[in-house]
Amino acid sequence: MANRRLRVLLVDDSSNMRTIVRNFLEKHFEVEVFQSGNGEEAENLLQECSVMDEPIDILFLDWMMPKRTGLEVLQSIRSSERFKLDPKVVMLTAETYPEQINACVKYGVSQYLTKPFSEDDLVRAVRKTLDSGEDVSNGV
Amino acid sequence: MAFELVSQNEYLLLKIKGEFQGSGDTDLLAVFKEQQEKTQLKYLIIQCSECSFIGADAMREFAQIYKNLKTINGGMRLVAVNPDIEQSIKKAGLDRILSCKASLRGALVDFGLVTTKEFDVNFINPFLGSTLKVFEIQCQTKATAQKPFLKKAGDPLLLGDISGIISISSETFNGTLAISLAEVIFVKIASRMLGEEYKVIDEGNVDLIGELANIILGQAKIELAKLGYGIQMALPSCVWGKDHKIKHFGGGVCVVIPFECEFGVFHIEVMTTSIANGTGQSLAKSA
Repeated sequence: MANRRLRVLLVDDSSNMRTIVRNFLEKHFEVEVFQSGNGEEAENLLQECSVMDEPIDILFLDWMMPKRTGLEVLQSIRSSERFKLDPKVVMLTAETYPEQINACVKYGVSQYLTKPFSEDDLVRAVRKTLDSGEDVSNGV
Repeated sequence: MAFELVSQNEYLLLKIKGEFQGSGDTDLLAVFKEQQEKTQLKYLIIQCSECSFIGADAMREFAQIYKNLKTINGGMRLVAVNPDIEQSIKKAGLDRILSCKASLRGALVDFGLVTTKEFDVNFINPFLGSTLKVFEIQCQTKATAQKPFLKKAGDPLLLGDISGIISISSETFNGTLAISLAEVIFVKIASRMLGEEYKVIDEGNVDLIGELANIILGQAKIELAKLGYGIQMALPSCVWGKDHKIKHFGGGVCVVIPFECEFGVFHIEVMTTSIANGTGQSLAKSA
């Protein structure tokens, strides 16, 4: 990844929320941003990128989305050999209960960032994710 | 010790953490019996918010405690259980005995230890506080709250041109949260949040209002949880246009909180209807 741009997939049913995240990311990182409005499409994109040897580095997942929740997407991708460890996942959600955070930690999220979030919160979460996938922060 | 048992005013609270396989060397049933006899409390709440797993041995111990409580007409509830644990309890065929509640309040209502009137007092403050926080962090503008008032049937419509609406559901009440903004305020906030100048509400920026409703409810959930309310979130919806109406579900009385920010005055509406005692009484009546 050292010689190429960071590849990020933003999954949120709010296109404006995706724009906010994209704007923040582009301000601070050399980044290629992919977007999806639902979990099903996101999984397709993830597989496509992986097969094309252009893997996603960080997957940003909202929780409450039509068709499939972010947690369901997380469970699904982590249950496959291909995505067991990568991409790193950052939950970016309005869901704030500790049991929800714990459920995501169990499936290997790197960061759990709650909305509302500032530019600094987001940049910090990405940096921590790139440094290590182990340190899960709760932005509540 | 893998657990902590403490007595509250009217119930015993068992806190379990991490992967709870069972009480291990310490006999949970014996500790419970000793505490129960000492306090004469007949209700047990098992707090699971920091627990990621409950093993088969632990479930057996809980079932023993349940049996014990039944003999004294008591009750037991697990609260803030994660979906995986709930699934494993069901799989073990113990979901009737190890009954799960999303919130402490839900458990206390089951035991008859809280009344509807008690709900009224601090209900609006979490929504007020969360709106201030969301505007400061996400909308990058400070807001101040004005005096809340009740919205009665026949009251004029709010002045907003765009509203985000989200239903609120819990074990003890249902309701709706709506945030309503005039177009002139919305476009300024949207411009600031999205880094692009907007002059009108359009298909491209409209979902932002639903997202704001969603985030305000998400933050309010944290404070409501401290009051014992567990909230389930739903997908928000957006309506816009001059003189649009906000349709609240359930028909309870609605509290309106006006806010002022640098762009003008906007409102949030919170409508709640108690389902705990089947009366359909609004929780916000005395707020």
